Amino acid sequence: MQFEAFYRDGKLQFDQPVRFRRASFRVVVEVPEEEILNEESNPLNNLPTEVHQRAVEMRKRLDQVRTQPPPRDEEIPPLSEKVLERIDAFEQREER
Amino acid sequence: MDLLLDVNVVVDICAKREPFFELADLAVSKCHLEGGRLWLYTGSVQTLEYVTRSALKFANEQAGRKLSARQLQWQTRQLVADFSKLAHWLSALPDEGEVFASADPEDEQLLRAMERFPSGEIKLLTRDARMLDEHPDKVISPRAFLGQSQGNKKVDFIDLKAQQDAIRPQLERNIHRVLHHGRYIMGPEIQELEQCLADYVGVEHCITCSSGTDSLLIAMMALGIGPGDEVITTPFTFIATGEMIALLGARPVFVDIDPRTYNIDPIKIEAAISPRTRAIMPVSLYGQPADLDAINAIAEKHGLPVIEDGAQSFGATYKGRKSCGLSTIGSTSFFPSKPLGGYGDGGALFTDDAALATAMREIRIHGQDRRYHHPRIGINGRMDTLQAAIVLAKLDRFGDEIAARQQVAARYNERFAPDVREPSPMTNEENTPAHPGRILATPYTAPERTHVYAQYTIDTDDREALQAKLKEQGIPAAVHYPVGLHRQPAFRQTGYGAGDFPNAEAAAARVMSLPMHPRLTLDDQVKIVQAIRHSQ
Repeated sequence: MQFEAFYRDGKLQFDQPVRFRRASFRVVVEVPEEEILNEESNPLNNLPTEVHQRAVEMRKRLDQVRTQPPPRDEEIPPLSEKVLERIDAFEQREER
Repeated sequence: MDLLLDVNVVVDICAKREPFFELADLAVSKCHLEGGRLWLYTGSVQTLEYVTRSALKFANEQAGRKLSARQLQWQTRQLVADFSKLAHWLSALPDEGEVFASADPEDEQLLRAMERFPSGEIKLLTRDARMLDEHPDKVISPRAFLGQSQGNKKVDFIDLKAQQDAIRPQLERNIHRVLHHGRYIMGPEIQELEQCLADYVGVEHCITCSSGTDSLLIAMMALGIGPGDEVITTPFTFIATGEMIALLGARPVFVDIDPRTYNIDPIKIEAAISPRTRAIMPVSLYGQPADLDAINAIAEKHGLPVIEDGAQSFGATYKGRKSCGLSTIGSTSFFPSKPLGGYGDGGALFTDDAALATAMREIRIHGQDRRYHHPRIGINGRMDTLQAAIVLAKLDRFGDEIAARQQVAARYNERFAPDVREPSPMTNEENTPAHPGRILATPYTAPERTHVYAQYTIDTDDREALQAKLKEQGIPAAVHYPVGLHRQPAFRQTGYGAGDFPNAEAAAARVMSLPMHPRLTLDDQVKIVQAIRHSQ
C-alpha cells in the first residue's frame, strides 16, 4: 500500500495517522532525485579525517560498554516499585 | 560553538539507534575537535536515563538478547555515565522550573538554559522536527552541524573558559553555598581562603583584600609610609605599583631593571637609598620573582622593609620558597587573567610579622580592631566572600595550572630556539642587528627561580609591525608595558625624564606578550611561531 509522507531530519512523517501492527519493519521509500545530495556536496565527505577518527574511537568505546555481559540479577540492586512505575510511564513517551 | 545535547541525540549515541547514531557520533566529535563544549542539561537526567533504557530494550529485543529489568537498568546507567564523561553538566536554574505555561516544558527548559550563553555561541543539537522548524536560530540538526563551516578560528590571548570547564562543579557549589549562607562580607570563605593561601605560601599570616592595588596600599599604610617618604621601585611595571606610593603622598624612586629578567636590578638599588627611603618595593614581573635575596640584604643593611609586588608571580619560587613569602610583606592580585584569578578584583597580603598582620587586617576594614572602634585610619579594602569562594575553587588545581603554563612556555621556547638572540639592547654601534637572522629573545628564567608565565613576553625588533601582522592572522598580542612609569604624565612631578632608565625604556619599546594560558594547544602555538617567523 502507498502512503504519502514527509521527510524531516531523519524521520518520515505521514500526512495522515496510520497505525501499524509492529513497531519496526522494512519499507521501500521513493525519494525525489533532486533531494539527494551528490558525493561532493555531502558534508560527511568534507569532514576532516580527525572527526571520523574521533567518532570511531568513541563508538568503539561505547560499543564495548554496550556489549559487555551484564552482571547477574542478584549482583545488581533491585528496582523499587517507584522506579518500575517510572519505567512504565517513560515507555509510553512519544518517540521523537 | 558549544552544543547542548537534546535527549534524542544522546539516546541515538548511547543506544546506537539506527540510522541516526552515525551523524550524532560525528557531530559530537566535530564539536570537540573544533574546541566546542558539549553540554548535558542536569534537569534532563531522568528523561535521559529512561528513554535510553527504552531504546536499549528495543535494540536488545531486535538483537535477540534477553536482559532482565535490572540488567537493562545497569546497561543503561553504564552507557549514559560513560557518554556523559565527554560533556559538561549544565545546571538547572530556578527560572527554568517555571515552564508550565509552555506547550512543551522540557523543550522550553533547554531553550531557556541556552539564554545564559552569549548569542551564537551555543545551539541545541536535536533531530526534533518541531524544534528545528520553530527555532532555526537556536537549534541545529546533526547533519546541518556537520555541514557548517567553523570559519577562521581565532587564538585566545587567555582562555578562562577552559579553566572554568574543569572546575565548574566546585565553582557552582561554592557560589551557591555563599548565596545560601548570605554572609557576603567577611563570610567563612574568607578565613578558609586565608588559611589555605598562608599554608600554600608558607607564611604565618595571609590577609585577603579587595584588589592587588589595594593590597599595595594597605601594606604601605601598615608600614606608616606617608608624605615626604620615598619608596624604591621599578619603572617597568603596571601603574598601580607607583600609583599607590604617590597616593600616600610619598615619592616613587625608580631604579632601572635587569634587561634579562625585566625585574629591578639589585646592583642599582643602594645608590637610590636616601634618608627619606622607607621601603623597597620590587615587582616580580611577568611571573618570575625578583632577586629577593640580594634585595633583602640591601634592605637589612639599611633597616628597610621589603614589599614584594607579586601580582603576576603567585606560585613561582625563588630558591625553593614561594613568591610572596620572600620578604617583609608579599602582595598579590587575583585579577581574572592572573594565574590564580577570581571573577572580579581581589588580592592578598602575606607576612610572618604578627604586628604588621594585625595592622593590615585593621586597615583593610576601615582601621577597625573591633566593631565601631577605629584605632587607625583604614580603607574599605575587604575581599568579597563570593570572590574568595571562586578562588578557593581554583586553588586545588593551581599546581596543575602552573605546570601546564610552564609546559606551554617550554613548547614556545623550543620552537623559537632557531630565532632566539640575547634580549635588548640588541643593536651594535652601527645600529644593525647584533645577531642577523635572530629575531627575538624569549623569556629568561634566572637560576634557582621558577616562572609561572603570567605573561609569555618576547623582546622583538619591530614590535608594532609584528603585532599588526599577527592581528591580520587572528593572533592577539599585548604590550606589558609600552611606557615606563617615569615617563607617565602622572609622575611628571618626580622629575625623571627620557634616558634615565635605559633598560626599562628599551624594554618598553620592544616587549610583546603572546597568547598564554594553560590550555593553549600545540597547533595554536605552531601557528603563532610560524606567523612570527614569516613576518620578518
